[in-house]
Amino acid sequence: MLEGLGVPAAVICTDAFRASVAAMAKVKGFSGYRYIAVPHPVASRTGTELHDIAGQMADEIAEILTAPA
Amino acid sequence: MAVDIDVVRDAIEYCYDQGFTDGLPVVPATGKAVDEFLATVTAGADEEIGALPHLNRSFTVRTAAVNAVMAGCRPEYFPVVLAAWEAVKLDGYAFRGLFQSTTGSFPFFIVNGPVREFIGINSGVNVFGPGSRAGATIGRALRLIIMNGLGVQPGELDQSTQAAPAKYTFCIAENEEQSPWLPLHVDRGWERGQSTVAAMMARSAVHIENRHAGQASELLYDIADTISRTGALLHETTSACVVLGPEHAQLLAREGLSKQQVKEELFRLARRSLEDLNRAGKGEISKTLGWRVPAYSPDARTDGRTKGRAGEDGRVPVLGSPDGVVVAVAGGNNAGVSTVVETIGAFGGRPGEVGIPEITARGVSDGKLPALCGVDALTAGGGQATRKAG
Repeated sequence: MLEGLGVPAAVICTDAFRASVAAMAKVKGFSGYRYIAVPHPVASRTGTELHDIAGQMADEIAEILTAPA
Repeated sequence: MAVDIDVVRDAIEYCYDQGFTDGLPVVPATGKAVDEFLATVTAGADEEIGALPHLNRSFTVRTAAVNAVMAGCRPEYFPVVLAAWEAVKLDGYAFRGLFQSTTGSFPFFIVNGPVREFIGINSGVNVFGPGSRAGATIGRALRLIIMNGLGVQPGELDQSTQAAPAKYTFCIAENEEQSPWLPLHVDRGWERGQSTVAAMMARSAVHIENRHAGQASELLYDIADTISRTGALLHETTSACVVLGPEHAQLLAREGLSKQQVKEELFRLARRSLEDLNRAGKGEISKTLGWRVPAYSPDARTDGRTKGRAGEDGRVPVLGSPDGVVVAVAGGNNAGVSTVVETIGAFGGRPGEVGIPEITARGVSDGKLPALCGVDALTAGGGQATRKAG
């Protein structure tokens, strides 16, 4: 996918969608694909809460984006 | 010919083990049955008729036939199944991720024309209920095609939060004979003698009880109130297929209302006050997806769009245009009951509609159970069902 084109990418979803991510990764031939699961939900959170969650995930996102291909 | 019924049971269990079913037992697809279905259509068995490229999935006419057999269809239903699938493709919304969406939407089919009677698709009493093979199995065939052909399995790539009972099967015929207006397909320029199937992506079917109203205005208010319920509002506007019971349709027509005038009246009446929208946490529109959100949402627009759409009475239209409503007539002519099928297509899109080739001969069935040849796995990645030689 994007990584195959040389573009660093980090997939972020909420933990409610782990089964779908696993199924999608399998379909695409990337079983075990590393992604970031944030606590569910997103839609009903305040801006402050979302900002906090993003802050907690920032290091892991950076790590995935900068990991060797 | 003696038949060991336990072999049939084993074949049904095999289909469960393979993940072919919707939870209900399926008819094991034998090579003979699939061939009978394929013989009813001019499309080639290996013709690709559906794909979800982002899932690397595609399927052929043969896969559709396998699933139609499993759904319990008779061979002569198969042209309707294929036309119904083509109609889904024309819907305009189905392929925007709806097969996998948390809303859990599903196609709703309305069949018009002579094929209704020829294969017996129910348009009358208990039209949304059980008891009629053709509609039940055609709708179910489309669900199995989506699950097995497109590979969208519940709990995996189908992420529906709840879905709805009609996701199993949702196919009716219009009650043209007891409608005071032209049939749905004739409205859209088809000949009355042509059979068609229309498809809309639906979310739910809401029942309207109004047995005692004597005036069109009362009934229209009741229907518009149902269309505009706050729970239906996902996007800025919504859309609906209003399936009027014949008694309701005749009440409206007696006061001289055309179908177009009914749509225009429903567009005019289907409104909610800003106060109601705010009370439901839907007083604003989100910047990114155009969803209804509370004013305090980080994604809420701040340009006063919703307030700007409110009329002098402070009420906001929930339909984008009169074409946000499709009006059809179905059900028994025995009470004042109608249904609002809540659809997806917030901008008033028309349903997809496809003509059904004339079906000149019924499929062949000798009444015997053919030797079971099995159906092998719907292969991952290809989505194509193949069958073993019998």
